[in-house]
Amino acid sequence: MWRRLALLAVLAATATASGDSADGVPRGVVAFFDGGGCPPGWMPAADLPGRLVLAVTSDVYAGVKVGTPLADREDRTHAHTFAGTVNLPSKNIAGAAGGNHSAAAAGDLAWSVEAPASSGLPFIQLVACEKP
Amino acid sequence: MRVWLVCVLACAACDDDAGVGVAPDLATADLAVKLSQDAVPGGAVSFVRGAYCPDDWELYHAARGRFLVPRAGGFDAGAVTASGTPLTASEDRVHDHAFSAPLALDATSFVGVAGGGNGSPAEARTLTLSATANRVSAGLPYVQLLVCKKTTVSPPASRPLPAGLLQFFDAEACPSGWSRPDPLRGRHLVGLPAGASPGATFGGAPLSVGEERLHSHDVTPTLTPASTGIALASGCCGGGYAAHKSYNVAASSQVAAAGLPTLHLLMCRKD
Repeated sequence: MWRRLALLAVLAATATASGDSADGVPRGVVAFFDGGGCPPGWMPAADLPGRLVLAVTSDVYAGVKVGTPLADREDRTHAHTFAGTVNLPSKNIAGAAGGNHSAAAAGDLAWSVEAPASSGLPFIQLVACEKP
Repeated sequence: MRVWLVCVLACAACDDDAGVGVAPDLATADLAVKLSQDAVPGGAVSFVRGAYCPDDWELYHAARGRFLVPRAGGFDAGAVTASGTPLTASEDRVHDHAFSAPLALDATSFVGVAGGGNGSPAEARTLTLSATANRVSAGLPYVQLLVCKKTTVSPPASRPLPAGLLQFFDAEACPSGWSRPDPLRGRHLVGLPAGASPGATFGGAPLSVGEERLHSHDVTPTLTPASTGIALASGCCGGGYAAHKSYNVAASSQVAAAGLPTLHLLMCRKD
């Protein structure tokens, strides 16, 4: 019993004295923190600012970045092009072609418009750190 | 430091009666080293930099291709709620929207008679504009990281965990010494941009558990048909012809999801 107690005491003293690994989180962990900065022994996760994190289970894909980082509180928008053609049916009139242009011409009418919007998703921006 | 530690452990682990020169209890030494390094509670789910999960952690396949979201509500025992189809590697998921809206053509008339042989004018009536938008992504940026789950039960915390650590858990409740942070519930987590305010929330309302958030677009085209010239004055009584003018349409597209797949997990904050 005394051996285990001594062991834990030594470990605690060692942990307190050991700078970069002073807390009980394994090296390599990347985590978000509630606060304004990284705790001692951690460093900012350089590729996380303005980004979400997608979970992968193969190291082949780890570290790959997609898209442009968000700015402060940016609710990123995207735009679709809506386009179509509508047919204006004709209605005959007993009159020759002439100079009164008050009527719309029959036939196909193409239209197109860009329409931006955000995704509607909710976000919170947090300090992201990694344990080296 | 590691060499020194192992030597100390070897001495501490040896048998009292064995005397000098007896091999240390290696199992005890290994356990001690692990205890000294990892005090994260069992069931924790973390992102990891590198090619492998730490000792006593394993790949968490339930999260593959998904964004982890702190659960909004209470935890349904044993349930891990996912929504959407997992992304493939580096996929920038796209979506589209359908659109349909009425286009009412105003009427004009001529001093003449409807009928006859000139079919160039359009008829005044209400038509339907319809379209399907092109497929684009929501443009939300991400970085891919390995995801691992702590598989062992919580070891004695020989080292403290940093206060404020935000940790996902595949578990029913937060461990002792942890609490659920309300502002995070139902929100995607974004790394803090340089100079930005930590903890700021933005975007839509928090997601309910398993919700796939929908959105729509305001579609506001202006349609201006060509005109046709008629050799008649405007007036009574040949009516029912579409007026030549610009027509403004304002309607919403049908809703669709941006398609970001999620896994809703318990999120706890180290007190």
